Amino acid sequence: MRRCAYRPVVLVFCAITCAAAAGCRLNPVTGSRELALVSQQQEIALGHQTHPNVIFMYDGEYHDPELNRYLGTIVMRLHACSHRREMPMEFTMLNTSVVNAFATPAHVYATRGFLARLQNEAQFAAVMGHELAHVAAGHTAKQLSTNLLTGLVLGVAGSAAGDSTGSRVAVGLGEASITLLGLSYSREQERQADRVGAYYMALAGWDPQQAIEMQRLLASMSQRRDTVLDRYLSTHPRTDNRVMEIQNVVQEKDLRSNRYVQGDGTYAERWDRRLGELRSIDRTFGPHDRGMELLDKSDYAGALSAANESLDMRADQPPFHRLKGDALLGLGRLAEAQAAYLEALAQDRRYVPANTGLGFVFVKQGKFAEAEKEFAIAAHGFPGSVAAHYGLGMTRYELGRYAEAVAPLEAVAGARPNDPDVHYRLAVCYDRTGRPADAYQSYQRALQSGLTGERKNHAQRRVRELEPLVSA
Amino acid sequence: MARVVPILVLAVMFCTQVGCTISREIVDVAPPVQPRLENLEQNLTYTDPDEGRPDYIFASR
Repeated sequence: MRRCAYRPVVLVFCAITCAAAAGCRLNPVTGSRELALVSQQQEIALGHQTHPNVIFMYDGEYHDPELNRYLGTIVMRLHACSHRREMPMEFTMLNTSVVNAFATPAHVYATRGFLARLQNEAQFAAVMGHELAHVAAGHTAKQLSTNLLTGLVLGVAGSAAGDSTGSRVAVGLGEASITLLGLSYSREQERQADRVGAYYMALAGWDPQQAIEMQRLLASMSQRRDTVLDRYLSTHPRTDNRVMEIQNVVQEKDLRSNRYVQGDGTYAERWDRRLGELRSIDRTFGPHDRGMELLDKSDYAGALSAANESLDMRADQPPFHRLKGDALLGLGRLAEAQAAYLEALAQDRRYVPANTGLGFVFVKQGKFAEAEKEFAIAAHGFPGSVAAHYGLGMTRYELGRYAEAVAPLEAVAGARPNDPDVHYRLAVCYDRTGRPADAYQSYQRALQSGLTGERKNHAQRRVRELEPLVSA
Repeated sequence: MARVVPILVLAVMFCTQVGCTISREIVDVAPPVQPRLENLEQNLTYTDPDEGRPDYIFASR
């Protein structure tokens, strides 16, 4: 029977119409109805799913329970003033020098680099108020709804074109959570978050003038070409517009009146006292951050020297030991690398990037069973880690456990579509587990991605042998 | 089909924005009574929901 070429188009527009009709809900911030195809429960589930990925995309949690209690109390005080105070909320500090703060549903994050640079408590309240406003105004849900519909279109169109790539990419790696991290808000949404965030901080007792001072602080850091600011500045509008937006709402709602501001409204002394230790630790990350750049350039000796420089200042930071391990691994000093990774885990046994490093040490030693255990821990702790999934798939492949190697390798193949090694290993796994059609396709992908040597000959032979089976 | 896909994506993105211009309105909030900000340190009530043992924790090595 002939297939109607426009059937997918009709399907998509029916889906959009139904979704739009069913998905409008009241925005508690503005009181107007807006499209939202994602329920609050779904939002929260996605936020939780994203959480471990966020932590390790930013190099782990910054552990200081007392500071967490202080900052978390500030966040919860702001959240109690928000339009969605019924939503559960967790505050997490991230142990990176990158300057950033952001929220996902039910989670709000601030980096060590950002906290070290803020001048007082009110500026922190301004940053957190802004992020809580994104959650309250449903910006995340709205972006997800758009992505959902766009994905629907691509999915229907892809299936109409007979493309199985979509389903393959969807395997593993917590794709939805990675999508959530990649979301960026429109300028209009950022401006709304500025207005609403200033309102929240005033309701909670801080002086909203500090929201303006915080913008000026960011602008001055930006003029000094502070590279760690890149991420935050690239996702937020220019300072002038933001200052004007905040000034407008302060005036409209009279937010600097005694009705709102409590005490001096800034609490700089309290902030300096509480943040002293974090600022001191932040300074020891200078050589480490330089070492990470050297590692990227495969300058292992330079990276090792930088790691040792940081370790001479403090030995309790897992990322310093991990950098040392990575550098030693690059230099082929496996026993020392293993010791460095184990020391990182001794400092924080949840620091799974060290498990990935240990896995690669064991791989180089030919100890695949031990390596597999480390990669399994790493993939469990950091579901978005391509390296951990690659290690897991590769070690299972080497151990001849082809059926178990399929899922992690499929996940990596989605993330690295042009990696011939991954496609070849996946093809062999399909081949050995009775999936000739998938094997045929993966051998072809491996060849198209530039497979070389003996594997190339093997792949070409298997493509020829499998072709009659597949075409039949 | 390949030519239709980008048009469909644009159409969807347009449709999801229609009627969704962000209002400048902020609905007033009546926050609960909280301790005075000056006394914040005497009222550090935040507890990490997972008590420092987040979801990704697993059996020790």
